[in-house]
Amino acid sequence: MKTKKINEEQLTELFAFMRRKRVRYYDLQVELVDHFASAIEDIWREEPRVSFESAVERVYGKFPITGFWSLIDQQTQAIQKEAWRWVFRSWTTYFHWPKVLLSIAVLLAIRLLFYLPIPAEWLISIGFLLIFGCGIRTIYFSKKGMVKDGKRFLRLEATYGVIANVINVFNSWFYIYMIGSHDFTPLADWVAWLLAFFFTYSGFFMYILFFQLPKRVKEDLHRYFPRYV
Amino acid sequence: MANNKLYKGSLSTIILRLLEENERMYGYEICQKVKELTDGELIVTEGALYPALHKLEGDGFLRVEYQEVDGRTRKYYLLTESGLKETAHKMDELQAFVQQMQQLLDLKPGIG
Repeated sequence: MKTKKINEEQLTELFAFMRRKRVRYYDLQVELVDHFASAIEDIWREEPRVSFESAVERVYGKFPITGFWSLIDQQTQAIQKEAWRWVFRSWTTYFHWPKVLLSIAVLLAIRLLFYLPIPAEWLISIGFLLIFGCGIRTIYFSKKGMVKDGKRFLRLEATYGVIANVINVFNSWFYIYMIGSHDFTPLADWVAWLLAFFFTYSGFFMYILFFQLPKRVKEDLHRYFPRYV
Repeated sequence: MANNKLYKGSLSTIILRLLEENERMYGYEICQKVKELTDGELIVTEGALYPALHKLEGDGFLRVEYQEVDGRTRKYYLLTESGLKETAHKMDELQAFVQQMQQLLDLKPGIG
C-alpha cells in the first residue's frame, strides 16, 4: 500500500497550527512544519488510519510542555550571538592590513577636526548625534519594502534587536556625557587623540552594525526565501 | 530503555558526529538516525534537539541551507570549518572521558 503523504491543504493547516501556538516567525515555522510533516508521514507508515488531527497532536505532545517558547528563545539567542561574532570579526579587520590604512586616515582627519575653531563639546555632540541618526535610520527602514505577504522573520527581528541594544548603550553614554561637567578648553593633546580614536573605531563599528549587518541578513533571507524577502 | 540522562551532556557531540558522517541532515532526520543507530534505546527529544542545533549554529559550528522537498521547505544543517575542528575536539574529549570512566570502574577487581 502506498504511504500517505502530507498534502498542500494539510501543510497550510500546519502553518496555521504554528501560528496558533504563537510561532509567528516564518523561518522557524518552516523548520517546525517540516518536522511535523515528516513525523506525521512516519506515523501514517505504521498506522495509516490515524487522522491528520490526531497525528498532529501526537507529534506536538513530544515537544516540551512550554510549547515552542523555549525554541524561539534559544533561536533568538543563537542568532544574536552569531551576529555579534560576525560584527566583532569584521570590526577587527580595521586593525589589520590593509584596512588599518583607512583607520589611520580617518583617525588623523578626526584629530585635525579638533584644531578647528569649533568647541570640542560641539564636535563630540555631533559625533554622538551622527551615530544615533544612522542607528535610528537603520531601525526605521528595517522592514520597509523587505518582507512580502506580512511574513515575519526571527533572523531579521533578532538582528535588529542587537542594533537597538547598541543604540541604547550609546544613548546612555551620551546622557552621562551631557549631565557630566566637561570643560574641554583647551583640549589636552592626549584627550584629542583618545577622542579621535574612540570616534574612528566607534564609527567603523557602527558602520558594520547599521549598514553591513542588515545587508548581510537581507541577502541571507533572500537566498533562503526568495519568494518573501 | 537507556538512561537518557547519561547522554544529555553528549548531545552536541552526537549531532556534530552525525553531521560529520552524513554531510547534511535536517532536524527530524537526526532524531530518527539516533533512534535507528541505538535500536530505539536512545531518544533525542525535540525539546532538546532544536535548542542544541540552534546553539551550535549560533556558535558558528553549523551553517544551514534550505531546499524544497515534497512541496515543503526543508532546513538542512551542515558543519562549518570550525564545526569540523570542534567535532574532532569533542570526540577526543569524549574518548578520554570514556577511558577515565573505564579506569575508574575497573578499580574494584584490582583492589580485591
